[in-house]
Amino acid sequence: MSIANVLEIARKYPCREQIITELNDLIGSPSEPLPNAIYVYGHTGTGKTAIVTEFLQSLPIKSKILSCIECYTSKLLYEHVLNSFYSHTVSKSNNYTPFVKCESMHGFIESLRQLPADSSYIICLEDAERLRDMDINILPTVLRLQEMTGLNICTILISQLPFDKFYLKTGLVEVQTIFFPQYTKAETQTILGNDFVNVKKRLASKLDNNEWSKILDDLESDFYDNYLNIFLNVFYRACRDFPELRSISRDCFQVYVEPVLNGTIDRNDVSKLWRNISKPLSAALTAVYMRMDSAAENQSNKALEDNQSFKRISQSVELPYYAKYLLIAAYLASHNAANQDKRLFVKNHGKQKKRLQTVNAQAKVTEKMQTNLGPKSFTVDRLLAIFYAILDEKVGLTCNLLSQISSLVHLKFLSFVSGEGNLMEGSARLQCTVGLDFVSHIGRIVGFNVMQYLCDFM
Amino acid sequence: MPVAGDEIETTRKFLKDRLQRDFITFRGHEEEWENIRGLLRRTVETGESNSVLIIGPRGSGKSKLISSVLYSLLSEKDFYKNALIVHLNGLIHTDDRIALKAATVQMKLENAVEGKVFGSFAENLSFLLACLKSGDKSKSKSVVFILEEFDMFCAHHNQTLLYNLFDVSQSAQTPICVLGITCRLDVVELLEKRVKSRFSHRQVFLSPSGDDFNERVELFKELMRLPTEKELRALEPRSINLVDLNSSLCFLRNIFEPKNYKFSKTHVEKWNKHIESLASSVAVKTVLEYLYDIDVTEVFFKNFLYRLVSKLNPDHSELTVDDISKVASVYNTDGKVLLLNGLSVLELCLIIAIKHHSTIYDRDPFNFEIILGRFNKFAKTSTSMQGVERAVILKAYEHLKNLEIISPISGGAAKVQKEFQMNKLMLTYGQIDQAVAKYPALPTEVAQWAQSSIA
Repeated sequence: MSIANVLEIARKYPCREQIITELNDLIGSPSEPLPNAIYVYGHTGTGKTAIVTEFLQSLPIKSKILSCIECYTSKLLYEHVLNSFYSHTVSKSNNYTPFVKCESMHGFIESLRQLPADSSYIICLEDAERLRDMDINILPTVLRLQEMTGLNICTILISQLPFDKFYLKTGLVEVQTIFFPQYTKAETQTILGNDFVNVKKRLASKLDNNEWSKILDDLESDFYDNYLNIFLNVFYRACRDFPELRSISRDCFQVYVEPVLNGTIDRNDVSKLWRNISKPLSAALTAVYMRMDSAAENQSNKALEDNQSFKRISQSVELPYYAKYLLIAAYLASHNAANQDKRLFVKNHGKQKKRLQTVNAQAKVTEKMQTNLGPKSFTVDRLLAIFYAILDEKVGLTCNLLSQISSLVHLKFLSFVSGEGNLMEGSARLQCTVGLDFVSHIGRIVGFNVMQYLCDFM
Repeated sequence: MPVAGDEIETTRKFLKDRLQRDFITFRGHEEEWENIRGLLRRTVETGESNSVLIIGPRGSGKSKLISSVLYSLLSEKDFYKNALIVHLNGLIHTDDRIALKAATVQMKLENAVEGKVFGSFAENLSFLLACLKSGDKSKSKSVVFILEEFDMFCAHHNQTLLYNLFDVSQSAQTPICVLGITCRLDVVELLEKRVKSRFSHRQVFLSPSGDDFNERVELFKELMRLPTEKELRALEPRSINLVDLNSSLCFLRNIFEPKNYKFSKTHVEKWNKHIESLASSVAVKTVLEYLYDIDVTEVFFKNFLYRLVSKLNPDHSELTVDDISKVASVYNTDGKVLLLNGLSVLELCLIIAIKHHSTIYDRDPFNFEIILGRFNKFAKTSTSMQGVERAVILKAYEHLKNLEIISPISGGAAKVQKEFQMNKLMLTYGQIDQAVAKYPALPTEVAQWAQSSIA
C-alpha cells in the first residue's frame, strides 16, 4: 500500500503511526507473498481492531474480518470466510444458504484450494483467544493455511493476551507479532483533546440554551486541556481504558463547565474551577467502569454525587425484624466452625482448657480467616439453633418464620448449596452471601454486635 | 531501464518469496535425506513396502525434508510414472472416514467407487483395501502415504486406518510406503499393540543442531543475497505437473521460482556487496548470535529475516545494523511484561499485593478478599491510592483475570462467589519486578512497596 494511505490512517488514529507502518511493511504490496500469520495483541481500547479493519479495507486484497465471539462454532467460521472469499452474500433470494455447506476442516481446506491462486487473501480473527476453546485443530491450522492450501493467504489474529497463552502441547508455528502499547498519559490527553469539538457539539445540543451555547462555542481548547489535566490526574491511576476514560470525561465536563456558563466562576480561574470539580470527580471515580449513570445522564451532576451513597441505599433494604436476625444467624453459621457453636452460644459451656496447642491453633493470620476465605454451608437446623440462641425473646417456629428464610434466598442474601426445595425436612444446605460490612450494618440497626460472635475476631 | 525504487520493490518481493515459499531447498541432515529418498525409491522401483516415522521438534524441517525429497524424485520420470502419492494431514483429516475419502480421491479411485454407493465406512475401507491387495509387487503402482501430524491419527477410533495401512505394508501386496511425520517423541507409545507390532519401527530423528554459529552467518548471506544472472541461468525451471499427479500436494503448488525475477547487474552487485558487509560486521554478528541462542531452527530465523526484509522500501533502500537490532528486539521482549506496563497503577498495585501474598505463603492460592486486605493495608498509608472504592478494585481484579494474569484453580468451585474464588498467579516474580522497574511514572511509594512487603 502506498505511503499516502498509511499517513491517511495515521491521521485518523493519532499516536499510532509506527504500528501502522509496521503492519504495512509486513503485508507489503498486493502481489507479494504474505506472512503465514500475524498476531496482534494489546490492551482493550488501544485501537487494534479499528486500525486493522481500516487498514485491510484500504487494501486491494480480499479480506474477511470475523469475531470469534460471533462465530462461536467452527461451522460458522468456515462458512463466513468462504462466503466472503467467493463473494457470495446470503439473502432472502437464496434462502440464506451459505456458498457451500462446510462442517469440517477438510471441507474448508478443500474449498479454499479451489480459489484462484493468483490473488491474495487475508482472514482476520478478532478475540482470537476464543479459538482455544474451539476444536483443537483450528488454531494450528489457521496459522499455517499457506502451507495447506498453497494460496497466498494470511491469518491475522487479534487478542488481548500474549502469544504464549496459545501454546499447545506440541507447540505452534512461528508468527509475526505486533504489539499495541497502551496509550501514555500524554497521548491520552492529546486524543481526548482532539475530541473537543464533538464534546462541545454534544453539550450544546443537550443544553438547548442559546446564550449558553454561545459561551460554550467561545471556549478554547486550552480550557479543555486544563480540564483534561485535572481529570486525568484523578482518573489515570485507577483506569487506563481509553473508551471508559472518554465516556467519563464527557460526563464530567458538563459539571466542570456549568459554573462558567451561568457566570459564577470566571473561565480563567483554574483553581476555583478545580475546587468546584474535585468532589464530583472523586465521586465519579467510585463509579468508574460501572456505567451506572448513563440512564440518568440528564441529571448527571446529582447522579455523580449520589453514587457514593449507592451502597448505603442497597443496604437499607428494609427487612422484617426476625429476618434481620435470621440473616445475622446465617452469617455466623457461615463463618464460624460448627464445633465452636457450643462455646459461642451456650451459657455454661464448661471450662476451657488452655493448652499451648489450642492457643497456637487459634492464632490466626488475616489471610486464613474464615471471613476472608468465603462462606461455608450450613443446615437449616443449625441456622435455627443459632437464631434462637442470639434472639432474646421467645418466638414460635411458625410457617411465617420459615418463609422468611425463602425470602432471604429470593433476595440473594442466602443461597442454596444443595437440597434445593427441601427446606422443611432440614436436609437443605445454605450459605450466606453477604459481606461483613453489610451484616454489621444490620446488626447495628437491631443492636447486636456481630463481631463479638465471630471466632475470627476473638 | 528500471527505476531504482522498483529494483528495491522487486528485491523485497524476491527475498520474501524465497523466505516464504522455498519448500525445496533443504539444508543439513544429508544422511537422513538420503535415507528417506532411498526408502521411497526402493518402494517405487523394487516394490518394497515400508513404514517410517520422522520425528523432530516443531520447525526442525520434517515437512520440508519430505517435500524436498519428493521434488527431487518427481523429476525422475520413472518415479513419476510409477508412484501414487497420498498426502494426509492429521489436522485436516480429523477422522478415519474423512481420511479415507480423501485418500480415495487422491488415488483417483473415486470414479471406480461411484458405481457403487459410496456408503458406509466399512464398505469404503474394504474397497480400498481390495484395490490395494489386488496388486502385487511387479505390476501395480506403488503408493506413498504421507501422514502429517501422525500423532493425531493415533487418536482416531481403533486406529483403523493405521492398522490397515501398516498391515498392507507388512504383507506382499501392493507396495506401499507409510511416512509418518510428528513432533511427539513418544508417538510409538500411542500406537495400540496390534498396530505397533505391524510397524517397522524405523524412526528418523531430526533435531536441529545448535553448535555451529558460522553456519548461521552463512545462511544469513545465502538467504539475503540476490542471484546473479549467471546463476539464474544455470538454474533449472522448477515445475511439476501436479494436475496429473495429485492436486492435494499443496506445498508443491506455489513454490518459489527464481526464474520469474530479473535484476539489473549493477543492482545485484551493489546489493550483494551490501549484504557481505553486513554479514561481516561485528554488531550484526552479535545480534545473530543472540537470536541463535534463542532458537536454532531455520523457521525462526526465516521469520526474523522476513520481518527484516519487509522494512525495505524505496525510501529505505538499504538495511542498517540499527534495523537488524530493532527487529531482533521484538524477539527479545516478553509480551506479559509489555502488557503489565499497560495496566493502571491500581491494577499493578493488586499484582504487587498478590506477589507479596505468594512470597509469604509459598505460592498458595488466593482470593479477592485476601488481596483486598493486603492492598488496603498499603492504601491506608499511601497518598496516591487512598479512597478507591471496593467495586472499582473488584473491577480491576476482574480485568487481571481477563488478561489471564491470574487464573482460577480448578475444582468444583462453580457456586462460589467471585470474591472468594481461589486463583493462582500466572507470572514469575521476575516479570513483576521487570514491569515495576519499567513502568512509566510510577509513584515512588508503590515502587518501594514492591520492593518490600512491609508497608
